[in-house]
Amino acid sequence: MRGCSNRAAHPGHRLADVAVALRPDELARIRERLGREPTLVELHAFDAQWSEHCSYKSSRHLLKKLPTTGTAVVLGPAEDSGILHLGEWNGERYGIVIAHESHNHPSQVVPFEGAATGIGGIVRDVLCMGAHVIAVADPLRFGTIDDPHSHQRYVAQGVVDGISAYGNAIGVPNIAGDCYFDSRFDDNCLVNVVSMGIVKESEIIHSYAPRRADGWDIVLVGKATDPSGFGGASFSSLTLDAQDEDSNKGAVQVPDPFLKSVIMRASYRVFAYLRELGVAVGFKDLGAGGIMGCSAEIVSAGGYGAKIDLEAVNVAIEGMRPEVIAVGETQERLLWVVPPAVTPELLRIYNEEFTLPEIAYNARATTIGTVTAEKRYVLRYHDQTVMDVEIDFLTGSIRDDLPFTEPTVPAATAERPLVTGVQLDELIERVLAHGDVCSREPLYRRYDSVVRGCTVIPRGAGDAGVLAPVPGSSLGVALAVAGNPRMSHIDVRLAAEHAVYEAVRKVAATGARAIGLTDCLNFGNPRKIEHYNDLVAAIDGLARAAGRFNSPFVSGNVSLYNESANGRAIPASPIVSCVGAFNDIATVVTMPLKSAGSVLYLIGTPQLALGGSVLLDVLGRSDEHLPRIDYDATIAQHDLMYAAAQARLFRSAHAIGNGGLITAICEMAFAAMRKGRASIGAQIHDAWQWTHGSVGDLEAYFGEAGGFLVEVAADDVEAFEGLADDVTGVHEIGVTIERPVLVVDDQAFDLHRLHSIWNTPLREVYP
Amino acid sequence: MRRAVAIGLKIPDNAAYTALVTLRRLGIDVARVERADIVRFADAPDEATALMAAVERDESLYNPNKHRVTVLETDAPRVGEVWIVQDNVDRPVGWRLYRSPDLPADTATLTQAAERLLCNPAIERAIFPK
Repeated sequence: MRGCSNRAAHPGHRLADVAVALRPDELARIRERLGREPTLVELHAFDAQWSEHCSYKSSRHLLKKLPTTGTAVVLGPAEDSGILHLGEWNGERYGIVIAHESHNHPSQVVPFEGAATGIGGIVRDVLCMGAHVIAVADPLRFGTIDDPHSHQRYVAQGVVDGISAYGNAIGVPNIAGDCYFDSRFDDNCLVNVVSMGIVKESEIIHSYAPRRADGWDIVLVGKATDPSGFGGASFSSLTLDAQDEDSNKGAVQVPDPFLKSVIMRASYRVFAYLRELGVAVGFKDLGAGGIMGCSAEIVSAGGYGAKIDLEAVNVAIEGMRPEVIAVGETQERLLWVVPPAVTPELLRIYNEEFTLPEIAYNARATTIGTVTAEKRYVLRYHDQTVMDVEIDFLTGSIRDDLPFTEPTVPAATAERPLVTGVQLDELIERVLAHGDVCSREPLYRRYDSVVRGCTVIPRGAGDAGVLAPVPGSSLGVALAVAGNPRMSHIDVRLAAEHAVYEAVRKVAATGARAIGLTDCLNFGNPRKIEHYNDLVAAIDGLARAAGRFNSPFVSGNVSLYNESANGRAIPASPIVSCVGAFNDIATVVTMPLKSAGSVLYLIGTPQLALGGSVLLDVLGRSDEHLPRIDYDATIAQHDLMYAAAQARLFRSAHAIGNGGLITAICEMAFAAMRKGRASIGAQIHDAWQWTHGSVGDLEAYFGEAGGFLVEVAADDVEAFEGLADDVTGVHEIGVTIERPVLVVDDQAFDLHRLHSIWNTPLREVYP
Repeated sequence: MRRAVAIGLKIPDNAAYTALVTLRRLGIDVARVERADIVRFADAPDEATALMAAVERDESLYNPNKHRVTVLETDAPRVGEVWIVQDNVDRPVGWRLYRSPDLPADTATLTQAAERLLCNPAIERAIFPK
C-alpha cells in the first residue's frame, strides 16, 4: 500500500459534507483498491474523474455503436477533438479539427459566464490539436421568454451576450447555430458549443504523451489557478435546483477572452517552434477535473504516470487547499508534455515574448511536474504526498451498466386524415412568427461571423456557415448544426435520425459534401430508466443515420442530469453538427433568391406525417408520427445536390426545415431583400400539380419531412432535369417573379409584410 | 428620494485587473482597482435595506452567484471613485481607485486615470467626487 500523508477523509464522513458526488459504492471501490481511506485530494480527484462529465461511465459503452471510421477520418473520437480530411493544396493535406461540447448547467446559473466559458473551453479543445481556430457555432435551447422579467429570458439574453463577448474578443467567427424556445427548457437551458480549426495533417499535435516521454516536463500554461470552477465536473453531473444556486457558485468559471486571445497566439508561435525542431509533444486543454484531470489523462493515454508538485502551480490566492489547486476548473489553461530541452524556449515564448504574467494576475507558463514510467499518479504538496493512485484506476476503470429497454423501431406511418379546416392565409403569418421559425438575426447579429476574413457564407446567409480556411486555395468547409426538440418528444430514435439528416441536409444545401459529424447528447438523469432509454434510442438513431449518410462521428460530448430536483427534465436532445467539404469553393450555393424568371424545384417528398411540425404547434394539434426518412431516395437527392452544385446549376438553394416549404421560400426571398434584391417574389404552382394528391396542400406547404428548395435559371433547366432524371422526389413547383409577393393558391402575400412579421419577434428579447 | 447602488462582481473582475495593469504601465500609481455598475433610482425607498432587497429581486440587475450590491450614501461618486457616463445612457460605470490597499486615490489621480484610460471623451464624460 502506498502511504499518503494528506488528511484522510474520515471513514464515516458523509460525502455531501465534503462536497463530492461520488456514490457510496464508488467510494467503497476506491477504498478497496487503495487499501486505505482516500485522502481529501484523492476523494475530490476521483469525484471529478469518475463524474459522468469526465468518465462517460454510463454512456461510453453505448457510444461504441456510432460509426467513427471512414475515408475522411484522420482522427476519430479519442482525443480532445476529432479531425477530418478536408483536401490537398500545394502538396499539403489539410484537416478540419472539430469539437462539440455543452455548458448547460453553468449557463443556467450564471448565463453570461457559463456560456462564455463554454466557448472558451471548446476553442481550447481545437487549439490543443495544433490547429488554428477558425470558427465556432452555438446550438441553443431556451425556455419560454414571453415574460420580460422571467428567469428564462434572463438566461436567453445572458447566454447570447456571453457567447458574443467571448467569441468576438478572441477573433473567431461564429458561423453557425440554431435556437429553439420551448417551455421544457424553462429549468435547464442547453448551451452547446462547437469549434472548428484547420491544421496541416503533418503538424497535428496529440492529446497524449508521445513515445519515450519518460522524464519529460509537464508544463502548465495560462491563468493563475483560483477557486473558481472548483467542483465543476461533478457539478455538471448533478441535478440543478434554484435552491442550490448559492452553494453552486463555487463552480462558476470566470472567462478571460483577452488572455485567451494571447494564449492562442502564443501557442501558434510554439507550434511554429516545434515544427522547426520536428519533435512530437503532447498538448491538452484543462477542462473538467482541472490540473489533475488533464495531467492524468494526457500521461495515461500515452501509457505513463506522473508526478505533480502542486506548489509549483501559479495560483491567484495564497493558501489554497491542495484539492482546490488539483481539481479546480479555472479557465484559460492548457498543459504541455515536452522534452526538458524544449521547456526553456516554451516558457520564454509564453512568459517573455507574449508576456502572459503582465496580462492577467500571475498568469504564466510553468513546469509543474514530470512524466513517469511508473503508471501511478502522484501529487505532492508541502513536501507531502497528497495523492498516490494507480493511474489507470483513476482514468479508465469506471463504468455504469444501467438498466434500459432495447429501442424498438416504431411501426410505419399509417394512412391518416389530411389536415383540413384551416386556411392558408391564417397559417402563413402564424408560422413565420413562431418562435422556432422567426428570424434569428437579432440574436446572431451580436456575433462577428466574418472576423479572420475567410468567411464565404456568414451566419444567417445560408443553411450552413462556409469558410475558405486555407488562404489562396480553393478548399472550403461548411458547418451546420441540427436537433429538433419538438421531434424528440415524439420519437427519440427517429428524431436523432432527423438530427443527422437535417445537419447533413444543411451542409448539402450549400453545395458541400458532408464528411463527418459531431454530437452532443443532452438528456435527463440516466438513473431514471425512461431517460436512459431515450439515450440508448438516440444513439441507435444517430448510428443508423450516420451509417446511411456515410458520415462518421469524430468527436462529441454527453451531458446528462439536465433535470431539476423536482424531476422536471429537458426533452431528450441529441444535437448534431456536420462538417462539409468543398474542393472548389467557387461551387458554393447561397440562400438568397437571385433573379426573376428562375424555376423553383422541390427536391424531396412531402409526407402525411406532421409530428413535431411548427404547423401542428400553431394549430394546437398533435401527431404521434414523425416523417420517415427514405434513405435511398434521400441519398440520391443529396448526390444530385452535390452534382448540380458542381455543375453550377443552382442560383440559390435552401434546406427545408422548421415551417416547411413556404417558410423556405419566404426565407430565400427575405435573404434576397437583405442583399438589395427586394423585388423578387415567387409563384408556387397548385400543390396538386406536384403532389398528385399524395398529401394535402397544408402538408405540402408546411410539412417538415426535409428536402431542398432550389432555384435554377431557365437556361439551366434542361441540364438540371437531365441530372435529376433518375432521382425520385424532384418536383418543379414554381417560378420566381419580378414582384415582391408570394403567390400560393391564387393568393398573393406581400413579402415585405411577411418579412416584418418574421423579423419582429426576437427584436424585443435581443434589442 | 434619489439614490444609487453600486453592483460589482464578487467573482474575479478581469476588466478591473486589466485597468490596474494598464494604469500602472501608464505611470499612474494605483494599488487596487474596483469596478461597478452604478444604477440610479429616481424614487428609491428611504431605507437602504429596502432598496437593496428591491435590487436583489431584479434579475436583470443582480445575480447572487456573481454580484455584490452596495447602496451608496449619496447619488454621487464616493471618495476615490470616478463615474464614467456614456452619452444618453444613465448607467455609469464606477471605477474606484486606491493608492494603497485601503487608501482611496485622490482627485488628481482619478482625473489622470480618466483622461488617459477610463473615459473616451468622444462618447463619455467623467464625474468626480465633490
